[in-house]
Amino acid sequence: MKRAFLMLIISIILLIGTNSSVNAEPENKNTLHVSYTGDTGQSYSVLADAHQKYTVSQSYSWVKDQTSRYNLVSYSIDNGGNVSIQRVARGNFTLDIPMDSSHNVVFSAVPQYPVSTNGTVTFSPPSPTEDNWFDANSDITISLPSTIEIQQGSIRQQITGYSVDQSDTQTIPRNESEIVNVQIHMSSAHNIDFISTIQYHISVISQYGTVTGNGWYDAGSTATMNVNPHDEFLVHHVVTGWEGHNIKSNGDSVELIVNAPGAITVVWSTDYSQAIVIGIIPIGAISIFFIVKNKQKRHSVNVDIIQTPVPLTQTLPETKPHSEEITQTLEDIKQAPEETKLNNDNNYSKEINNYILQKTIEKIDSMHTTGVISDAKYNVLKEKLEKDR
Amino acid sequence: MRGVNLLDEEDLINRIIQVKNLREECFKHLESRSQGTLTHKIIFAIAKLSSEKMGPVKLSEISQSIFGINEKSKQDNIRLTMEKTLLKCGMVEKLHYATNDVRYILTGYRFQKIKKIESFRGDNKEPIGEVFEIPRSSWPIPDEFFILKSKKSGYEETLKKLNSDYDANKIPRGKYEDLIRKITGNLNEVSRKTNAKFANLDEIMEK
Repeated sequence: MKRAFLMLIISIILLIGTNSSVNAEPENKNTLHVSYTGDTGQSYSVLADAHQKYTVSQSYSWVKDQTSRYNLVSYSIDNGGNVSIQRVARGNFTLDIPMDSSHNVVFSAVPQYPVSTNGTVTFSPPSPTEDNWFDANSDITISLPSTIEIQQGSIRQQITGYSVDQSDTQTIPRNESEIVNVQIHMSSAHNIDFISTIQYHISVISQYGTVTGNGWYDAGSTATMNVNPHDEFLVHHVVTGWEGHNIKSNGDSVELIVNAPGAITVVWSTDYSQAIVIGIIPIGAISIFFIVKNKQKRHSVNVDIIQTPVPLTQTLPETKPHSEEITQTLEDIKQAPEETKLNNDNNYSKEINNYILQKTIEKIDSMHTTGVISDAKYNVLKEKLEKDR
Repeated sequence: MRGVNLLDEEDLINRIIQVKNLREECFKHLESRSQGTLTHKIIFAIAKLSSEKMGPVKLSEISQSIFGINEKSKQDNIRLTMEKTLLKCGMVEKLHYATNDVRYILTGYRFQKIKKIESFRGDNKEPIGEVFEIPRSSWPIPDEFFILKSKKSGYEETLKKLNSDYDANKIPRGKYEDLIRKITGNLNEVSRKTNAKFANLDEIMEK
């Protein structure tokens, strides 16, 4: 019994000894264990040659799900302090670990969500990864100018609203030279659609007076411009009309439906009647004075009227009938019925083939002009039909 | 997941023939008030590109068409917008041809806005307004259809001319009958092919 118990103890010791030798690291190898905080990545271990360095290569960003990703922020070695990693969107971060002993490397990453927009915007604060991805639970402000000039001083886009994630459009109050700001909390991926309208600049050119209504108008809107009458001493300026495209003028004001940028000119006339009335009295008195004074010295002046003779008739160049040509044509007509019929008969098949092609191409053309066939397809089809010919 | 073959003509034509019902929140992406939004641009870019290629299109191609460049961030914008809206609405289909080959195509080219009505008889759909059509120049219609349609028109017009020429004594009876027989034969053949392959499409295009 004692012997049997001894044998059992020896067997157990041997068995444990064998297992230990299986689990133990080879004498010239050490283990590097790489893990991630918060289960943001799949942990792994590698055996590396002792007294050599092992290079860990870790992607800066990796997929979390369809609309989010993880981005690397720091690492620690063997439970030491966290070492920050410069935030980068793409590429790999590498870390050299001396494998003189086994080590544990722990990477930390944060989830990020993207923001997509349909305009050129500024993010504040900017993306930590210098793209359009932002850390989860961060708050950002998306900014863009409320107007974007398409054609300097004449056509621009006015931002009128926006929608977040295809929700109902939020209207942005019109405010010149302002920046549109949209606040977003990054709890998921977001899509910001800015809605804009085209505006045209209408300017009013006027030599006199004060003009109202110069400025930017939404495409399709009605613009109304006014000009105040302008008077100088004894001289009265009167608006006699407006010059511009598609305008409806009514005295001192004008209306137009804005569908292009443009300029409207105010046409003025000057009224001197007051000046004349005031000026005529002394002038008249002076005139009468001179008339009376020079009564005796009047003399007549002869004026020669020179008339340029105008010819009453013009001689047209004489046209001669082309008698030879007429005779030939008549001969042709006499001979035509039989010859034409014969020629038509011989060439008719060719003519009909051409006619088929012509009508076929006309059909393609009509489908193209009515917008059924795109430009690219139209060219291909025409080429195919020509080849068929 | 689909096989590696691109969509066949029949599949593409079926997408044109069927009118796809859309809830209001999805239908709005087609409307003019959404013009300028990325979602709107994606729909029309996919339609135009798939009409040219006669098949589904890659993200890079959509990006190139919308932004003029196909860099990764732009592709991400488009992909994420589609994931959140157009794929959920069932307006765009995502096809995996290989691990790194994903392509997109519209599920339909004619859409009907609907309102769901719940009643004791069960759910019901009520159509709202007219059917919205993506511009026909962006429909994936095979070249063969246009060739057949234009040839048909060419033959029909020529038969009219033949008859009027014969009435005007421009051609002898023998020649006339010979040409009438030949062209009528061609017209019948073109009509037969059109009916066999594109009967439903032809009906829609005539509207």
